[in-house]
Amino acid sequence: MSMTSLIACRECDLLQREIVLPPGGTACCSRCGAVLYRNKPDSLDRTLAFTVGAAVLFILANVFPVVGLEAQGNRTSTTLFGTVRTLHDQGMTSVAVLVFVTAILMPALDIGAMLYMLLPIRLGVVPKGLPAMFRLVHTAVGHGRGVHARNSGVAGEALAHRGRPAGHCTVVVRHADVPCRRRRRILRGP
Amino acid sequence: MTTTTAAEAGMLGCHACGLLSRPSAAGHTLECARCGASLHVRKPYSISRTWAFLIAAAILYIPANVLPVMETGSLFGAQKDTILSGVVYLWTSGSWPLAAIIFVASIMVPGGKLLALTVLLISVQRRSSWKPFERTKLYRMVELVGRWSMVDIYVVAILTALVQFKALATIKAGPGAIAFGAVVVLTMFAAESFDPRLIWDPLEERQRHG
Repeated sequence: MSMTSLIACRECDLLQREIVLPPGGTACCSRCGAVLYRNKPDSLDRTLAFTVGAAVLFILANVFPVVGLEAQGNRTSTTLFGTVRTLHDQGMTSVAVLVFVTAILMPALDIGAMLYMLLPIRLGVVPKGLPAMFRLVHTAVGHGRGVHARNSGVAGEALAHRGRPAGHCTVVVRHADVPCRRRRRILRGP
Repeated sequence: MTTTTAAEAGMLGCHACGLLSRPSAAGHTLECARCGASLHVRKPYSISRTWAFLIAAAILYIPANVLPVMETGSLFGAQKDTILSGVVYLWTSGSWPLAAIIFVASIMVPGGKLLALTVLLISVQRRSSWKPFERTKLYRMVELVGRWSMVDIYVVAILTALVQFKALATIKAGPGAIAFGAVVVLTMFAAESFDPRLIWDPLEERQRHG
């Protein structure tokens, strides 16, 4: 039994055997119910389409004012970055930083990193520094947390080629569960 | 049927890409063979880190609710609003759906997160095997709501940038906003540093010994 057919639940660490999923299927941990991996049809094309769409809208969202207000002939409007600048000018730098990081920087990093990974993969090339970019998206930006990336993302598929054939495993392992069900019959203490 | 965890089988699951590896006995730092992320059996110092973030967040929860988050200045004088006074104002002026949203997002959710993480930490420290499924679910909820608690900060940020009519009316962010933002960030870090696998470890131990 090779280790590549095994998977550990990231929420309860239970070892399970991977199962083949039908398109659109989801494999769940048979003990705690966490989503282990999914089989999404056209995953690469769809993710790329959504990311390109997001990139266009993100640029528009930052170029144009997000809100405007008119009161007694006075008109004001502000862009996303305008809110950051105003907060900074008022001496609320920490709040300004928080808004900048969560509303501008993180989405920009997320979109940028996804494009950097997915565009070359779509063209059949593994981009330089893929592992580092992949970790950035999955840990720092928190994208797709909770799902095993190798099976959910295409970047993972590209990474899978780097996988090492592993040694032997002699433990009793349950199969991953499908579909997701509420499991309450758990090994409670004796 | 007996169950086995990756840790018991001497294997480490990569937190980023999910690849299982069997580390060699050598004491060098462990890296995932596929994506290069550092490998840990459990998140390092999970309990103490989570406590640290949690206690800091609990302390700041007080000024976040007591200090004004917004200072409004107009021709008719200045007014300072805390989160709760804003909720009360919205409620009495008839916008009760808005009042409910702000109350839930800014008072109940952060408070609930603090409470939930405290319950999780204490139960894990006592090596409890009480309702692990439900506790894992609770943790999932805490992680999920993390990014939705910033509503208040965004509202204040937009208002301060928008309402700048010199003498007529100006809005400034108050010191409460800093504390509130810190609570949101600290509870997010607390949730991030907590390792849900610790909930299940006592069960494995009992299975092995009993």
